Amino acid sequence: MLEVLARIRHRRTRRQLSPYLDGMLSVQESRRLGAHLAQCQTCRDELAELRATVQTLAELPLAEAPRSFALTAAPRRIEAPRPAARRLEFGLRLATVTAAFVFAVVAFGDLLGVPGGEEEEQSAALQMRPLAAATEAGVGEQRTLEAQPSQPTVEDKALTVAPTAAAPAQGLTEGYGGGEPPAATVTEVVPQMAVPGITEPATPAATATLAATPAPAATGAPASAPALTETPPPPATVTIGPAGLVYVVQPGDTLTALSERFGLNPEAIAAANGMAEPQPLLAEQELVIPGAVYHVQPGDTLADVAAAFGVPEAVIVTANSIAAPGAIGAGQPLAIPGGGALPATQAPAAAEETAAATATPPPAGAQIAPSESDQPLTSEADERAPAEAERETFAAEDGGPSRETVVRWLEIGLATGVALLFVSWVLARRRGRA
Amino acid sequence: MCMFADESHLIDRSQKGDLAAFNGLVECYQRQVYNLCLRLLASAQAAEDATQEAFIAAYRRIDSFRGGNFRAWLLRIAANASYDELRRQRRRPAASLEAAMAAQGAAQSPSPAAGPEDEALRMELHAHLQGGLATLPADQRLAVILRDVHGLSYEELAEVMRCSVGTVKSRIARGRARMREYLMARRELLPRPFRLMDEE
Repeated sequence: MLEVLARIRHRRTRRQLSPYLDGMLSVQESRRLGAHLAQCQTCRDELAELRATVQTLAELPLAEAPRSFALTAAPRRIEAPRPAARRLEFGLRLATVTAAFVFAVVAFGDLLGVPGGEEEEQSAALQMRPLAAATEAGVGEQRTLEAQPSQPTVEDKALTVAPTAAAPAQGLTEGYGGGEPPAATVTEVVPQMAVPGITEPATPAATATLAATPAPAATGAPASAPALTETPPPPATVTIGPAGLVYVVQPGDTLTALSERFGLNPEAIAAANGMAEPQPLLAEQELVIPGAVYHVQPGDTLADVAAAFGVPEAVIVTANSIAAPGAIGAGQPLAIPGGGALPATQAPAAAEETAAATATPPPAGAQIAPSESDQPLTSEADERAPAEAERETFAAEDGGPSRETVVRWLEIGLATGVALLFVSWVLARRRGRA
Repeated sequence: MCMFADESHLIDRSQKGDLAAFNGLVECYQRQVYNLCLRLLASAQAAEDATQEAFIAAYRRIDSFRGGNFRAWLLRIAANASYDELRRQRRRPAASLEAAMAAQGAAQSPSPAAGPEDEALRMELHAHLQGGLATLPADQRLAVILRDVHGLSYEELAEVMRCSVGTVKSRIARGRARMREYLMARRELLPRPFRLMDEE
């Protein structure tokens, strides 16, 4: 029994001899070791040998460096990675900043009620007027789609006018005989094309009306745009806006009366304005009137235009407040309620003659596609119209960021933040292990 | 040896890319680094290569030194460079141990005070010590060399070897025990201390 204990103590002692030499034992360990050494010759011998070994090793001289190891040229440095903590901190900060930025974007958009700079610009200059007819009437109102392509953005205004003008002009081109229009006259058309739709409304009051009246909410979005100027008493006519034909309801107007005045049926007007069924009208309410805009060509008479669109002459007179039937001039934009795309065969006869005889500015359609005047341009207008109608829908939706938009952005922000956190955590761990 | 304040200043400037400052550190430590490599590799030529490699590596990684014991940090790099060198040697046809020892002996300047016999004895002892160290496992050899030849503290050793002081303690103890056995087995070839022990 005692022997076993002694052997255990002996083994432990042997392990402690080396640290004992270096004074690396605790006081208690040293005392116990001393007691063992006093009675164990083997351990004393071993300690002495160990001490001799250590002394011998310590006597091993340090050799002189055979040469200088100074570096003659700086080797490429290895960038020290950031410590884990700093990395994590950086990741956290990045996540926070991202989340804050996303939140700010969402909040800003929400407060202004505009989704982006494009529309902002628009609201300052001209009240945006989403075209209800195109989006709401959908496929059923093919006529409306063709006749009223529209554009919410400022820079696209020339285009907005172009298709509407192109449609009637198409007929002229056809009547012209399908030949190439003279190149020299093409440039002259440009102002005629681009200007009227915007700067020369059918009535003098139109601009003011446009600026002042709230946009009709095609898709049910609240018409929240405040009146920019004092609203003058709106004229009882149709105005030509960038979005198409618009009529401001007068006190006493009814849908039926208006329909009669413009030669339309009430359902068409209702559909164009997003009403499921004919509803009572409110004074000052803006009504989108399905129809087209036609720019008078030299030699055109009111009767020609009316015949070409298949619309009663009286309707055009009423819609445009024309004083005398002969008082229409070339380049004047005419609102044609109920006017669809001008069929090629219904081109005003006079236009053909005048164009051929005097080589006056060719029809507007030629300006859009000069080299392909023999190709039906209505197709171009057609193609553009649905695309624009689609864009219109988005623009109307974006009128103020919807709840879904906000939630989506918040989700994106959160997901980004979490992803960044995770990545930084993984990096920090890898760094720590390495 | 560098003064401590001087050293930290040199490290600081080296970290900013000052090669001259780094070479100041090289001057301070090249003897220790070279000797560690020499003990680990038992070849003057290999030790020279490993030392140069160690300093190059140290310069490239100087940014990763963040305070603490610079000597321990540097010696760790030197040990790693030596192990790399050993691996490289294993791939090449190995130089004979005797050639290595001869080179080592030649590298050591004869002490002027000692007579030719003493000198021969000393060289023989060194050869035995080197042979004994060669029999140790790598971690025990490094521990014994750094503790008994270079005189590092247990704490410094723990820093160099990236382990606990307890581990350092046991590595040193085992390494010394093996060295003792190796030397005792050749005690008749050894000088005074061991003979004296024999006489006791």
